Amino acid sequence: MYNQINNFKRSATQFTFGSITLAVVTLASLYLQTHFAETAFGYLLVILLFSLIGSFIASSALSILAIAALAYYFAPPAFSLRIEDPQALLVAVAFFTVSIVGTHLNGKVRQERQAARETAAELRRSAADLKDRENWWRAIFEHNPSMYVMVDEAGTVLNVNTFGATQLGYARSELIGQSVLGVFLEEDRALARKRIRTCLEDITQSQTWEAQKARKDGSVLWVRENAKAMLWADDRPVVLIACEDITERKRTELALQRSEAHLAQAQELSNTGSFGWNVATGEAFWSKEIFRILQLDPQTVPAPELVVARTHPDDRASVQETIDQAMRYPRDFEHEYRLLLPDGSVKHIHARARATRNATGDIEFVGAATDITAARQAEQQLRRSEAYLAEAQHLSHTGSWSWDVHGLDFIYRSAEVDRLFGFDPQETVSIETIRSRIHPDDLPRLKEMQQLAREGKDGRFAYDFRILMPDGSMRHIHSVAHVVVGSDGNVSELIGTHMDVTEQYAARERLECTLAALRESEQRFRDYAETASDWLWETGPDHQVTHLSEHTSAAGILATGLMGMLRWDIACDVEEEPEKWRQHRARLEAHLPFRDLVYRTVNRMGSPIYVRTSGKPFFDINGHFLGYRGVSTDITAIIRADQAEQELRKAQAELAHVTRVTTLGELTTSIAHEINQPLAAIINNADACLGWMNRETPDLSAARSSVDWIIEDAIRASEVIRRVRALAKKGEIEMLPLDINDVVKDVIALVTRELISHQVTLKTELTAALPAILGDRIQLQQVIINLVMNGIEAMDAVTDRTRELVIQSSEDDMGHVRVAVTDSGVGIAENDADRVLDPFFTTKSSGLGMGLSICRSIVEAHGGRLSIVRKQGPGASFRFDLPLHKEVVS
Amino acid sequence: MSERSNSQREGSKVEASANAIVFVVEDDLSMRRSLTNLFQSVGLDVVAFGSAREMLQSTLPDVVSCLVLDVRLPGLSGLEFQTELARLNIHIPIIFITGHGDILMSVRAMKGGAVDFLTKPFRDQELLDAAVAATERDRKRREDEQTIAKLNSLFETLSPREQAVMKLVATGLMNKQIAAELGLAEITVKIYRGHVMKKMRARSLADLIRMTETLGIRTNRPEQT
Repeated sequence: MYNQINNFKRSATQFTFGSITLAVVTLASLYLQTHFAETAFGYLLVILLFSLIGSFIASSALSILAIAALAYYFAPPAFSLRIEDPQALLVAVAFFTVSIVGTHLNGKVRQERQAARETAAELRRSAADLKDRENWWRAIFEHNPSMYVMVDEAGTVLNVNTFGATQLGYARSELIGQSVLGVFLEEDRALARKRIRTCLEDITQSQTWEAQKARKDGSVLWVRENAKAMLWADDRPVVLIACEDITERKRTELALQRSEAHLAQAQELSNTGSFGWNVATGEAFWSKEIFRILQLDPQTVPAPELVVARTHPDDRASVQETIDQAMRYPRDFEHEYRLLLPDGSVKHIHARARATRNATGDIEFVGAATDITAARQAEQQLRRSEAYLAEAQHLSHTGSWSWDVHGLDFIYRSAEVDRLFGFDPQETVSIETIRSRIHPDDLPRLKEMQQLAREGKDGRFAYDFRILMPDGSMRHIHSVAHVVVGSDGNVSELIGTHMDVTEQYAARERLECTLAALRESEQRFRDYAETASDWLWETGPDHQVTHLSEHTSAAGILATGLMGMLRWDIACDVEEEPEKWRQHRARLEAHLPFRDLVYRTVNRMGSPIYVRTSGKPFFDINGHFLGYRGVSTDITAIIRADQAEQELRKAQAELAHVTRVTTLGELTTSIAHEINQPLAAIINNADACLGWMNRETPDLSAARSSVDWIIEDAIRASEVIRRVRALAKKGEIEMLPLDINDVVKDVIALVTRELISHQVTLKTELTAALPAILGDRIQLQQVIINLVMNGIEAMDAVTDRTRELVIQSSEDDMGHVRVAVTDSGVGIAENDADRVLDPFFTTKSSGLGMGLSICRSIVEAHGGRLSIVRKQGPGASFRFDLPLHKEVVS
Repeated sequence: MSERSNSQREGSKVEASANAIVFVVEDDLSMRRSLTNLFQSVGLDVVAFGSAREMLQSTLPDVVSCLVLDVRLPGLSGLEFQTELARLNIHIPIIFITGHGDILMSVRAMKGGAVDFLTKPFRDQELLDAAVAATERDRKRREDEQTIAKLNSLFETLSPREQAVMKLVATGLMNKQIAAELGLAEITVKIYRGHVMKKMRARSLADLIRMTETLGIRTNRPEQT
């Protein structure tokens, strides 16, 4: 159908294009005005050409068309189908013939070529088929998961498939042409050769065997080989071998064998025998171990009765019972019994059996019997030792435990642990309850220990904690533990003991208390001694130094080499003060304690030091004198300070004296006047006395009065002299109870004249009956004189107002006697007020500026205070307060 | 020595004993007491005061007297008191006594009219002598004052013209010169002169001139001096 349509299409195409070409040729010929024959030739060419396309019919049609065209256009008469010219007719006939023949021939040639082409295609197809088939077989050969090897009689490999070669670790090319024996193990080669020969002997018979083959890399491959010989095309016998890899199976087999061996061995080692027993048939199977346990010949036919026979008489009934039960009811059973063996020994047996139904549907018991004698004995022993341990734990209050560090609970804890925590071992106690009894302060530590244990792995720990009992009492637990490292390499548990150490704790505490008290007492006495002294010493019965202990604070004072010396050899002032040392030695001889002996010696540097020492004799329990113990202090500094203070006091007194004398100098005129005055009066009175006496009637009464006055004035003069002398005297300070008003009056007596000569009015406001103060009269006079003189001087420049000096005495609320000297002079500048009392401060052109400063030192030496008082109006007011004489106060 | 002094004192005692009063101003009690005792022992009346103020406030008898004054006194000092007395026109001779007199002080005192300046201690005779001299001076002063008062009263009796003539006569002018001076006739001058001599009870010209001096009358003629 398709072909027909195809042919038709082709014919149509050929006709169409041929017609068009003919038309073109016709037109061209008409145009060129060619002749009939030439045109015919042109047409012929076109027709032949188109006949090559293939359709005879189309070619024929074209030929007719061409004839018609020729006849119509070119054969005369033109434009008529008629051919009148015979020649032309001939040509037309010839043309037609040639075109038809040509066309036919053309078609013939084409058909033949077509046929030839089809044959060739057929041939090609069959060759390709052959090739395919070969490839197919080859693929099967190659890719079949079996090894195929083809060898010749000599064993040379003729061919091998890739799989086979690959299995053996070779490339095909490496095997082909080589001896097949190369892939066999050395020891198997002879066998292989023999097998090939066997195959060749009977080529009809295929052979199967298993063999090991060596791979190229040396590893071994187990194969199952099927070999058969055949005659190759040229009658050459070859052997075909197909191999199957059975390594895995072989390995399983070996493993099975090994495990059977292991089982037997395990049975022997574990004293466990296995048995099988078919109840229905009475058939029994015993493993070797059963025989051994029962001490029976392995050749003996096994039977349950044999077991009963060997059973210990005491257990025989129960064993028989078990067997009977098993026979009746096909149920698993388990029992333990003892064997009494011919050698008289007893064995403990534990047997278990499982009821199974075998292939034939019979009940069969399969089981194992274990000789547990050793375990029993061990168990007994263990039980006994556990009892011992429990008893020991109970007695020693020690509990042992094992702690799961991950599960955070006890894996095991002995009864004593529970008792330690105050629980009955019988009752079940949760870990929380136990933990609740641990002293809260110790919980963090316990957790920390666990953490350490977990991290430490191989550590051993000891720690203490406290348990709070419900009754409020406390137990001290000493715990020792070590870690157990699990299979994963991590700490899995802690094993340890808790020991109740409450008693030990209490004892230790008591001991520590006692020790602490002892230490404290010792320290206390040491402190006393160290505080009160620089070093401690001890001398023997002969008074030689036997012990010296310098305090760290005073280290370095003592000279070296004092051991064994006598005190009077150490001292440097024995010759200066023989009496002191005589008395001291007498005291030592009398074994009497001594206090505060001060002597001079030298220190380590060789400088003189003063030492104050006190000591006390000590005796043994029998009252024998052993020596002296005592303390010593370096009092050099104190002595030096005393000396310095004395010198300072001396210097101050000296200075006070100097200023006093200076003041007296300033007062000279006044003092002279004070002395002159009574002297002048004395002379007057004396003269008057003479006058009264020399009268004609001597007036004795008047003369007596005169003499009385003379005496009075003389006393007055001597008083002044006494005061002046007292002030000028460089005397010791005499602290005596004084009435300050007397002192003030003394001063007034000395300065009155000075006041008058400076036209100063003195106003005294002395409070009567003041309490006594303790002081040095002269020094206090000096203070008041100074203040008065300063006041007088301050008023020198005053001309516009009364020059008034007020001296007041009073007692204040604070128990002080107060003296104030107030002037109405120029006063003290605001910014001088703070410095007025300082040494060397002066506003005068002359004067040392020591006056007020000395006044202040004197007042302060009397425990008082000198101050400037702010005052209304012009002038200044100085005041000093003195404490009352203590006896008066008390 | 003492005997001699005693006899000397006896002598002076007689002279000084004629109703004279010695005032003592001395603040020092014993000194005041001894001075009183001393003056009394020679028979002098003594009035003693503790201070100048005290003395000023008391009524003083108008008799021959002297004042023994301490230089240094509380309140009003001796020298100030001297000035104060002068201001009050009390011309009592003053004997200063002092414990420690200095030159300046004594000069000032003497300038102020002090009779003497004694430094304590002094012997009784010195003081007594001074006291006698002082009372003597007071007596004389009192007498002089009486003379002047008499001359004055005489002078008051002269007419103004006669007084003028007297003053000119005292200057030593001659009658003619006086006449020319006063614009009078020489004869008139002579008459006035006679009146003056008579009224003034002058015995001689010299006597008149001495009277004029005593009165302290000066002429108003500067060209004459």
